[in-house]
Parts: sequence; C-alpha cells; structure tokens
Amino acid sequence: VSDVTDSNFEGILAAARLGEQWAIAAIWRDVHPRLLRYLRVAVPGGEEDAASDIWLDVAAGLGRFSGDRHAFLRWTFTICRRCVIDAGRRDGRRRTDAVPHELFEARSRAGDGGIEARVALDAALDHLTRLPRDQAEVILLRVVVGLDADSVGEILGKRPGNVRVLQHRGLERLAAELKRERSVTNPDAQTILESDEPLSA
Amino acid sequence: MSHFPRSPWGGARLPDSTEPTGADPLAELLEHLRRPALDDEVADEQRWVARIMAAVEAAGTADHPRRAPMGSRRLRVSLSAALAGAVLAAMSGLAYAGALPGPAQGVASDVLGTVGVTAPSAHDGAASDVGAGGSAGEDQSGDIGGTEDTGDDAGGSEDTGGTGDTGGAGDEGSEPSGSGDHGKGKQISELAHNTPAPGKGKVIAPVASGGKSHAGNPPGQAKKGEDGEAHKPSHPSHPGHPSHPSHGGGNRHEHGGGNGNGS
Repeated sequence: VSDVTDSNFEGILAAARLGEQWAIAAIWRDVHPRLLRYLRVAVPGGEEDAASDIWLDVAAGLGRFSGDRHAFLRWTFTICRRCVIDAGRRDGRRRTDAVPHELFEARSRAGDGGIEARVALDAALDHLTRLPRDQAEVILLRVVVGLDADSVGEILGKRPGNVRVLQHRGLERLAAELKRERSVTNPDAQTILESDEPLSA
Repeated sequence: MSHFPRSPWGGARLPDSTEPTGADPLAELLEHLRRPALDDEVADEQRWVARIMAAVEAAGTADHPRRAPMGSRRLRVSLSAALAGAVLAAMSGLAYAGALPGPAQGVASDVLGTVGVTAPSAHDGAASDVGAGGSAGEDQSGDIGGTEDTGDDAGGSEDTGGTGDTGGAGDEGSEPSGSGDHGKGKQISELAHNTPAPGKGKVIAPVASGGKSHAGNPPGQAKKGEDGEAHKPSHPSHPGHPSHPSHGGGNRHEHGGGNGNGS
C-alpha cells in the first residue's frame, strides 16, 4: 500500500534526501509497481535488471530533483525510458527471452487472493506487448503511471495531440483484439451475437 | 457511465473520446492495469530500499554538509595561509623588537634563538624598558639643555651689548658678538700704530681691558678698585711689562676678549 500522497510527498522527498529509510521505502512502494509493469512491456524478462539501473539513477539524482509528486513520476519515467532505450540498443532487438524463473518465484509468493490478480495483470500486460511500441508506451504512461497527456508528451518527445492520437489508436486496437479473443474463446456466443437468425427454443 | 474508473494511484480518467463503445473487456483490462500494487511487486522491499539508500549515500545526495567547490577550498586555504604568515611575521617583528609581553617574549626569544635570530629575552626586555626610561630622562636633560641654549642666547645678547667678555658662550652666540670684538681690536690696533713706543702699553692696556688694567702704573699705585684681589698682578715678577698688558688683569674676561679678537 502506498503511503505517498500529493499532499505529503514534499515531506517524504525531503526525508528521502536525508537518507531516511522510511521515506525511501514509501517512495519505492509508490513507484516500483508501476515501474515493473512498464518494464514488463518494454523489456520483457529484463524488468528486474532495468529497474535496478533506474533506481540507481534516481537515487543519484534525488538531491537535485525538485518538484511535486507528479513531477517526480515524470522525472522517474523519463529515466526509465532512457534506460529502456539503452537496453534495447544493447540487445539490438526487443527482448523475447523466456521469463526468468526468479520472476515466477516472486509471483508465486503472492497470496491466494493475489494469484488471480497476478494472472489478470499479466494478461493485460501481454495485450499491451502486442501493440506498437509507441501506442503501448502511451497507454502504460497514461493508465498505469497515471500521467496526463502533456507529461507523456514530454517523456516521449511528442506533442500532447499526438499522444492522444496514439492513445486512441492503441485502445481501439486493444478493444478489437479483445473482441477477437472473445470470439475465439467462445465461438458459439460470438456466432450467436453476429447471427441474424432468431434463437431457437 | 465511464468504463475508465479513476486509478487508485491517482491516474487521470481517460477522456471519453478514447472510450470505445461496448468495450467492457477493454475496461476490465485497464482496470487490471490500474490495480494497486500486488504483493509480489513490493516483495524484497528491504533489499531494494537498502540498495537505494546506499546509492543515495554514495551519490552524496543525502543532506550531509556539502563539500565546498575545489576553487573555494583552495581560496580558503590560501587565505588561511596568508593570514597565518602575516600573524607570524608580525609576532616575529614584535619579538625581535622586544615588544611582546614578558612570558611571550621569553618564548619568542627561545624560538627565534633556535633559528639563529637573536631576540631580547623577557629579562632583556625588562632592561630595555629601564633603558627606555633612561632615554626619557636623557630627553628631559635635553630639554634642560635647551634651557641652557636659551642661556647661551642670553649670553649672545650680552655680547651684543658690546662687552665681548662672555667667553665661550659668546663665541657660540650670535654673529654680532664677533663684530663687536672686531671693532675693539681695530681700535687697539690703531692705538698700537699711532702711540709712540714709550708708554704704549700704558695707553693700550686700559682700552683693551676696558679700564680694568693698570699696566704701566708703578707698583702699588694700582687703585683698590671693585675687582680687589682679582686685579692683583698675576705676574709679580713682570709688573707693568708693556708686552703683557693682559697679564695684569689675569681674569677670565680678558681671555674672553682675546679669544674674541683672535676669531
């Protein structure tokens, strides 16, 4: 559970600069899950290593950062995207490696109630990985991280209007894919819905 | 009804224009994406936080006192060294002059002595203090001497009065004293040239002595004047000798006059 809110962020940030463990932990709990979800799509299988690099950069620049919680998220994910680009250059291709077993081990530690949530989240993230990269990034930053179009535009180097267009296209594509999946998983229902013939008793 | 509920993390609601119609599966997907942190996502919190804290400390971003820039540090060191050097030089100068307080002067004398510089010790400093007092006394004497000079000036005034008998004081006096003696010598010289040889001394001596000399008079005729014993012939074996007119007087004043003529 995140302890950070818009109102108390300034104090928590100041304490984190002083090296207070509780403050760093609060910021970490607020940001790290979003970071992992973003990286799960951006660098599948390499999110742990990428997250480690990102946090080191964030820690190194924490003393120079100034701003509110929203600005902190924007700054953090700017670092995140730069690390993702660097990782992509190193690999030369988009990661398609198998998910490391450590990830399964970590996920297996989730409680019984968390397993269903984990499966649902993984499925949602898997859908995003099938989108074009820029559309997936926009949806992740808008939906998962919670940034507005202007901030997403700053991170991606795009105009806010372009961000909205990418977001719209991405959601349409997701909707179409989900609709197609449902028709595949329940072909009878899909056939019934698309049939003009009246249901027989 | 919106299919994009607000994220529990504070995410903005997506605009309605982006909401596909009849996209309940999409709404569910977005709901899953906005789900609060799962347990496995915040696992190993202590390890992560420890790593971040170490990075914060390593980066110096913790609010420790920041090191001053290198240029500022160098300037500070230079100023400190210059100040220390100035203080050392000033103290050395004071020690060399013996102007430090007693114990400090003793220490400074010892320290300077180790490097071959002789400085007064504390005891010497006390002696020099006495010496300074003596100097002050000499200055006072000098002031008194000034008074004596004033007296000399007074003597000069007497010379100006035409007596020409003030001796050395008159010689050290002003120029008019000499001019007075010079005129008297001229007078005596004229008398010596114009007066015939017999009785010349009898004529010249009273003039030269201002009437005090009785040279040329027979012995015993000298009047008991105001000089009394002082006018007794100093050369009884040569009384009235015309070649020694001044010997008849024998007093200091006549010698003073002679000196005045000589100058």
